[in-house]
Amino acid sequence: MKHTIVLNGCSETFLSQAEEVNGFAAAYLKDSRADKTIIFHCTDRHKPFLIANSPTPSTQLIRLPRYQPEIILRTLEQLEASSNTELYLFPGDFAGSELSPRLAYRLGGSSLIAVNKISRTENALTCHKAVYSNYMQAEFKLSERPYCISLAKGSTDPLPIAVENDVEKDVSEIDIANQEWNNTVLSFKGDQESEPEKACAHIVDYEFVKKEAASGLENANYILVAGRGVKMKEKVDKLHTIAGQLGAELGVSRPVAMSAWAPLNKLIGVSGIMAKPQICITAAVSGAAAFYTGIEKSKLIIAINTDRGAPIIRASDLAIVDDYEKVLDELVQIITEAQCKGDTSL
Amino acid sequence: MNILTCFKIVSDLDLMSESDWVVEDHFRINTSFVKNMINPYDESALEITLLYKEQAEKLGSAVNLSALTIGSKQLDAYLKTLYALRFDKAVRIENQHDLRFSPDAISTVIANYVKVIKKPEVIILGRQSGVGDNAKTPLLVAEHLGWPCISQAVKIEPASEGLLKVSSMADDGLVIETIRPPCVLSIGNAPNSYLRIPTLKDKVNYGKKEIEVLEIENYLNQAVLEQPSEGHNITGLKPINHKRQGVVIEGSTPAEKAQNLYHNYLQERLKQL
Amino acid sequence: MSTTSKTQIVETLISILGKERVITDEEVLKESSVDRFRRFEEIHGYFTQPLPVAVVYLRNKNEVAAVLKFANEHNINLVARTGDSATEGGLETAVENSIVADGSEMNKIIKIDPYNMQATCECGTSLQDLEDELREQGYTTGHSPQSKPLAQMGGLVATRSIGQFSTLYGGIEDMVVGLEAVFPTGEITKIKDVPRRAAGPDIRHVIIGNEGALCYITEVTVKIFKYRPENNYLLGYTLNNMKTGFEILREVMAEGYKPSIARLYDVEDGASHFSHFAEDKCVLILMAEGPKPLADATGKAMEKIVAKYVECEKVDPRLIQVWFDNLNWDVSKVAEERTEIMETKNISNTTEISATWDRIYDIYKTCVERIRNEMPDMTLVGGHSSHSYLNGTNMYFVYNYNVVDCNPKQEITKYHLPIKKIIVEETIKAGGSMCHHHGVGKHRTRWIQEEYGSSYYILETLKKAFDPKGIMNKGTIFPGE
Repeated sequence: MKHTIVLNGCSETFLSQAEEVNGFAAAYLKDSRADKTIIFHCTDRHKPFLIANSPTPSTQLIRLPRYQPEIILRTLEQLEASSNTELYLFPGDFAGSELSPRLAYRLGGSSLIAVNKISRTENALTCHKAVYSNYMQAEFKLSERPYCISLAKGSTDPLPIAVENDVEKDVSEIDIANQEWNNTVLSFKGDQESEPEKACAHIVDYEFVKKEAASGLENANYILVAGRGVKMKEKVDKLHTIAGQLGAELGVSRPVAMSAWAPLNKLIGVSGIMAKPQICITAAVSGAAAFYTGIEKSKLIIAINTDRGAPIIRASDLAIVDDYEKVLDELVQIITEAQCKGDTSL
Repeated sequence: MNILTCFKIVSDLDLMSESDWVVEDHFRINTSFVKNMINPYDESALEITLLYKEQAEKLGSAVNLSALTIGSKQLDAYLKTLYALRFDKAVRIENQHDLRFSPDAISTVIANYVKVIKKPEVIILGRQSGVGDNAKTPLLVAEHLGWPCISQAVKIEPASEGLLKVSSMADDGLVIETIRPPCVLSIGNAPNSYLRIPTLKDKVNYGKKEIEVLEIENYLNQAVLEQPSEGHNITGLKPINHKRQGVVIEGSTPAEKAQNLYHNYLQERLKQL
Repeated sequence: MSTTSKTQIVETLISILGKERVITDEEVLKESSVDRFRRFEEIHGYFTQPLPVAVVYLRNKNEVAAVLKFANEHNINLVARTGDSATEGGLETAVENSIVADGSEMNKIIKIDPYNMQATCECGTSLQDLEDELREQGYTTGHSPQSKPLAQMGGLVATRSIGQFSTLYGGIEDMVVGLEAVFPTGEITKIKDVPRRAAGPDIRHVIIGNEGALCYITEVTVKIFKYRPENNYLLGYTLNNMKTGFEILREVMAEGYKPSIARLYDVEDGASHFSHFAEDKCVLILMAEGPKPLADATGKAMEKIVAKYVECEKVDPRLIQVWFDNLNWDVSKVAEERTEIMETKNISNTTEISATWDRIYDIYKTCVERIRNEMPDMTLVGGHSSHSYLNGTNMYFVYNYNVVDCNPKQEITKYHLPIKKIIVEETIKAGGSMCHHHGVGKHRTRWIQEEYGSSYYILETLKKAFDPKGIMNKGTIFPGE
């Protein structure tokens, strides 16, 4: 099989897109031949970075004034009309999931969004994805080529792009933009009304507000939660320090907040914050239903509690039955040492 | 301005218990035992539509709202509610076929309906719904009509001279565009997640208008309906186990347990944060 | 009232309990000045009640006694609290300088005694924890109020709580075997756990339902039952008229059957649960449970009774099973409710009453009609009967409205109280009771004398006898001055 990767180089998320798709390709496309990576970008400044992090040896750069799906689709449609690529792979972000089905439509292929696993069968691509609001995993057979799929976020581990100094990167470029980005009215090369111009004639005015780095407990990726079992304010203060050392945000359960051992805006649970971190460590939390709802959406829950029978133990992914203070002190030490050695990217 | 908002009624899958997830013939799952609700993205879409109308009318421009859903008579209660909330027209395209994983068929029906009535300049739909989770319908409606599509829209406001100001989420920020219709707007995670609730008086006064019921066969040919060919077919379906494992990390001392936790579970994950 | 200054109160409390357990943080005090009755204000960031001077966390009966004694000696109002899930304003701090005495840390399950079929626990034990623990051993409390995930035993007893299986197991008053409570003087009293006695009036009832207006409950012993969900015999029907539904409920009870669930929803209230199979219909649900032969016999007999009423159509039990599996407050829904109220300005409230069979339908009909006609901005007016007795049943009125054209602080006076007034006045006029199972709280006290009539003498005398200085939860059950 021959596959092509499509990435959005206009976005600051480029590197994570590249690593996400690279990880997926490494897991499921070992026998497939990578044709190229198509990267849309807005400024020449980023070119070396984009080329260096292109997941394939061959890279097609397309410069345009800004990320605009209608222009990108028009460009891809023309560029790939006669290509014999069988599979277009898009990352699982907003851009990837809007481009893949529309490109499939235009190229007469088939598409699927949020795919978490693929395998090749004769004349078809077997794709797996979650359906029924993530309660069921479905298998689909895609039969019309080219297959245009976008990935499910987090379905495979991201894989950094290998640096191969001896391999010459094959780069080709198309430039359809006239000016640097940040202009309201898009401007393209050529005197006549160009194709891209027609594609975005509906836009009268444009403004982009960059996303501020998400902060606070709601958006934290890593949280440490103190429960009733910590018993006093000084211990909560200490956990605050430990959270800082671990690189986590501190949250607390209702009894802790209602004892004013921590401010109410740290409260996790029904009457407070509904957190959705990648990692949630709970310390001396028993796991009452009203609290657990607040951490239910965590990817990984690690419970530390002296009571093996506490409800939180059954509701966690990993549990340590021990004194939370001793365990966390050890953990901080391990992580600090690891940081000194430089073997984590914390 | 004429706006068509499309919505889907889905089962509240969170009410299903573990043993209810039984895969029957043709990869069907019986969800008829649980309550229905408006698909959350579509609920946002409907509320955003009403907010838009309020604002536009304050500025003196007339807005005509239609709502469309595809399915059986059971859905009429929702359409009546929309009448009570002052939608001007409520349409149901009668369908009994299994179109769970057929966003192309659904979008063809919507696009054909729009071509026939020649009216709406703006079509608003939720980006995804929780049975098929296809997340393709709004995009394909745009393709069928040859209209531009703004996805992940979160806010729609009136601008001068029949233009729309649309805010949408991009991967690294918020895009605010002024748009000349026609266009398709696909609603993402908008801050308005609930549809307003009509009063009993409004239900009596406005909720009794007749619902326009159309036959799906007029908008999609029979062969496609019998076997929607989407270039993809479902070939398997099985429950996803969401149960947490509660694996107890062993060790004779707290230090050992912390070591075990770090090396076997945390180290790699921390790198990915 | 009290002449003791805030500082003096706090200092004394610290001397009794230690600094850690006397909380004066303003945010905590605000949260502790209200309950669910004022959630519309609270969600919008308004706290209209006097803030308590402190929230104290009590760990045993001696601390409770010491704090009560201090409050009593210095005329300081004290509000007892455990799970914090009250709905009728019972936890509002109505007067300045109140102490909120929180018992949620007294949460030990003291003894589960399967031989004598009883369990003893401290007041702060959450019902969910007790129930989970019992079920692991094959038993149940038989008590299943909607608030189960939040409510704790002390508060459940103090408010005369009731659960969804009450028609078989009874209300909490039928389950409580023995109690321990502390009175304002600091007197610690223990009522022993016996099957029955004829040694004068049943003094448990001075404590059960006192709503913190007479004493502070510290320990509770309840009956336990064998847990046999596999025998549940679940029946569901749709029907056109509430009147027919009440007739069926009456017949089931009068014939001597004991269903665990006997519920009748009207069209409007039912729509929010059953619209997927009962559009524009009332819904009747019956369940028998217990030992298999008994459950089967009861179930079959009830089926026979309902079969006589031709307007009843039987529905697939699986539809009812799904409803049954999602009976209680899903705590995540409690969180979602806040967002929903904030976004839609629509709020749902309830009032629960009871009356004899000959009156219940008229009360239901009159109230629903009056609210629909007299109140603005209503989006739902309906209700259900959920607890039946030999001589009558309850009616749980549910009313939703859009709060428009007013400040969030006026939600209660513009909507909630006028609606409650209609229900309470119509009920009392018809000879029913204005409070079926939420307690009186602080907003139905204006009708308490009418509720009791000549027997108010007995109730009032309890207050005079046990809380002569009136320091216990001022404004609850008994009207404030």
